[in-house]
Amino acid sequence: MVNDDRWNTTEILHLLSEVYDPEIPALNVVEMGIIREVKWNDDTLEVTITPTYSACPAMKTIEEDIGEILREKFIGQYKVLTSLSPAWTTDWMTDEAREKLRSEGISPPQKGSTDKSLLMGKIRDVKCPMCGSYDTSMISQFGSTACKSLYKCLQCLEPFDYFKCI
Amino acid sequence: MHSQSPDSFFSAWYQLYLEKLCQSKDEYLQGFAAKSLKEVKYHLQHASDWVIRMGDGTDESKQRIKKAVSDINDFLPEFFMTDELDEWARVEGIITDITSLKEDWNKLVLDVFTEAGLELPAAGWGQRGGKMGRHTEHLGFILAEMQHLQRSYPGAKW
Repeated sequence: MVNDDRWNTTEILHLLSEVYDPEIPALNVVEMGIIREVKWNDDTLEVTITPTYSACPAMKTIEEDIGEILREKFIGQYKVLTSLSPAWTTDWMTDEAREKLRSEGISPPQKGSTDKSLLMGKIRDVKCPMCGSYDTSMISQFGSTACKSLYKCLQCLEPFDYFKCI
Repeated sequence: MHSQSPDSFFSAWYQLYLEKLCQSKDEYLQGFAAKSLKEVKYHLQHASDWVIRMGDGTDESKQRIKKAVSDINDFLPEFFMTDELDEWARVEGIITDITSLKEDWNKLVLDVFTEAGLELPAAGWGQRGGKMGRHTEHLGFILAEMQHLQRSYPGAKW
């Protein structure tokens, strides 16, 4: 039976955009591209999410936070499903999300995650999120989290995180 | 060094393994492999960078990475050994023939070692039996370390 009072998927997506990534609190799960599908299956809401980096400790929290917000709003029965394929890519991050990263002091991922030169650390255009210079150099492939590299700016001399593309 | 040299050996193996796993008949494993592969490339690059930095660094760093490699050498042949489960999964089209990865693995590792100015130790006696549940004495210490918190504080939570 279809209940006409229930939330439609656009409203639910809007609601889910209040769930933030605990590792990067500036970003919500919708603009990160973590939410792959929201649909009603009879009376059960199915929210499909995809993991970002493997073993990212934020994923479990995100799943719980989604459940919490759905319960708070009395959405009804729900299931949070996980899908691995197609694999999450930083290309799914919205432009708005990239800009938020930059304002948080994290250099956003380059687009075109399959470009081998990006992977090999030969990125020429990692921009310093502080002063905007491209004169930057990688200190370590792995930074404060597995998803970020540690860089330094050779102009303003500030260290910063670069969100690696995958 | 004792973590980066095994990591480079393992990541090289894992990258090759996952590349093949992308063609698995099992859809879940296919998805898993395609996703993991993107990350393992970073791991391999990171570990290789360190092997090169150490090997091509000071006399001290070179000695240390050589010792690390020599310590791990006995464990490498098991990468390419199979057990009954591997054989079954290969026949079913779920995983690749693990022994066939060896040539590409040698090449990947050799490239890094050449750049690091290091020689690969000759393949010698290999520790075996891990897949059958037979482990060296190291396992006891590893388990003790990993179980310490739960055993000392039963039911501990963050």
